[in-house]
Amino acid sequence: MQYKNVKLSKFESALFDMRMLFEQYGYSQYKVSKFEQYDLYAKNKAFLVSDNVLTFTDTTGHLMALKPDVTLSIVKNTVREKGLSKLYYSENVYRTHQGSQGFKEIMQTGLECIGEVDLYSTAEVLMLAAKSLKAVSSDYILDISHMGFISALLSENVPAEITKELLELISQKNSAQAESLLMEAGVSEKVKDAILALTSLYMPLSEALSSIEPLILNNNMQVAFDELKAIDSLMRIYGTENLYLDFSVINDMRYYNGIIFSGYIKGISDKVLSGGRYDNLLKRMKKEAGAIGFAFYLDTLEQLVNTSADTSVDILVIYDDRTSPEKVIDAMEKAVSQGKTAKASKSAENISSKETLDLREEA
Amino acid sequence: MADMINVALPKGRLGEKVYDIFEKCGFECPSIKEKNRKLIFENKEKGVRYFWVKPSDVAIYVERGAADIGVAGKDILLEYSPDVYELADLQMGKCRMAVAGKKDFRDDRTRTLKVATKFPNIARTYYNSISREIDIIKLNGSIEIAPILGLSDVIVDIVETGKTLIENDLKPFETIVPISARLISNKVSFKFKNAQITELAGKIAEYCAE
Repeated sequence: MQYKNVKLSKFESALFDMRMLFEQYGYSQYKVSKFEQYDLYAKNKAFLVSDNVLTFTDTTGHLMALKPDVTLSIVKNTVREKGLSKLYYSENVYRTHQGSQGFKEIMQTGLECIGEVDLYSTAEVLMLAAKSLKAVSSDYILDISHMGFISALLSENVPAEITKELLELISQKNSAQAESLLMEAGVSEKVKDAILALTSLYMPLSEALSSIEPLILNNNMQVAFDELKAIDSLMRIYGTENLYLDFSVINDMRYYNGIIFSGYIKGISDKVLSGGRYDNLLKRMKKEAGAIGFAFYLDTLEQLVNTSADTSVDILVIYDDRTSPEKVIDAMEKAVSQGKTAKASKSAENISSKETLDLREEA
Repeated sequence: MADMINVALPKGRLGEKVYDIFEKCGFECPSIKEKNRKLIFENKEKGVRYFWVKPSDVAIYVERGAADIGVAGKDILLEYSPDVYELADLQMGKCRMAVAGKKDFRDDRTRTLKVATKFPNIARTYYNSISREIDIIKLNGSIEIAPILGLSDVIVDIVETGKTLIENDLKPFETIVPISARLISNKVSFKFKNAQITELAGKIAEYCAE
């Protein structure tokens, strides 16, 4: 099949590029229904991007929801096969947008890798995330963080009651306030300095590794560091660029562990891609397996300038009331059979075309 | 040539003081001092573009990326919790968010407390943290009049010197949180214009810490 006459919008071509990419690496498409029992979301509210869910009652009296998220459904429904399930999806989800009221239909595509996640598959997912961003623009950035590194650091006698506030401050890169919070809580100098160093850190991954190595205080931090280091060298083999280490990328520890990441594109003021390792979600669903994946928020591409579809046609056929319909059919079919785009219209207003065929007989 | 940095400044006295700091840190834009009604000023050489917006809107401009960085009061950041980076405390525009009421006010914990405020989220978070049941009355200005007329029991508002309160026979009780002006940055701009924003934020933080 050829689609040479269909002008794909940035949005559609990005979507097709990504699908092709995912299929090339052996990910198979996973379709989910639009509805899901509300229970699933009520139990895992903190996993959702926004906790507003559109609900309705179905004919049997069950409370149902229009999907705000696809990952939960995929995890719930994948019966664990031996090895690793590699899946991708592109679905509409329904949720409120940050800062605005009211629900939006959001086109989302993404992939999930569920089962025995190893170093190779982690690197593969990261590489695919970077390539997905690149499919839209080469001006992209993929920020990487490691929840294991942060939680191991926080296990060094940082009081549990300040953890939530502290993570919030780290995600805002608010070193000044984090410092006073840590001082008040009486956290040791060494741990405090390490946390503050992570808060303000923003560097290309390869360079950043040497600056976080001296911060390692315990074995779990070492494990996380080794993983980041291994990922860095694998990414170099892939030739993946624009990777940054940024600990302000933080996600809920109840669901995420290990590597997490976010993607950005120049000109879009929202995060366009978000993902990570979420073994803890599977544990909560009583499944013993690893999982890593990401979602790409296609709706954000609207913000890119020059993405409006080109509406011009090759041939504009103008006719009036006295032109016989046969003549219009004749002209149109001739153009279409030549593989051109044509539009029959009674007026030339607001239509741009390369050629104009005037069949008007009046005047 | 690198990209311009868009800076949203809060209109008014605080904004002018903030601009002076930017100027002293080497990001001057002389045209801003001319008396006219222009809203946008730029200095191509230094790579900065300033614009004046309503103080409570600064966070919105920055969150949505229309401005790369901006200066907003901690009160606004707490009330709207925008998704931005908070890079420095400018140590100016200092005041506090406090509970105030009539001088003879005594809290009767058997009743729901009526609270008038411009900051419903801050008030709700504070009273939730001390498990006090409240009824929030959202006002947009002249908050001090509410307890006098019996519209509310107390108010939650910004207290700078406390002079307005005293002149109206009111008295500040608890301080909820100290407030000052903060340098904020759009999260995506911070990544794509990292070198420029880090340099600027570093200079300003250093200047303000002195």
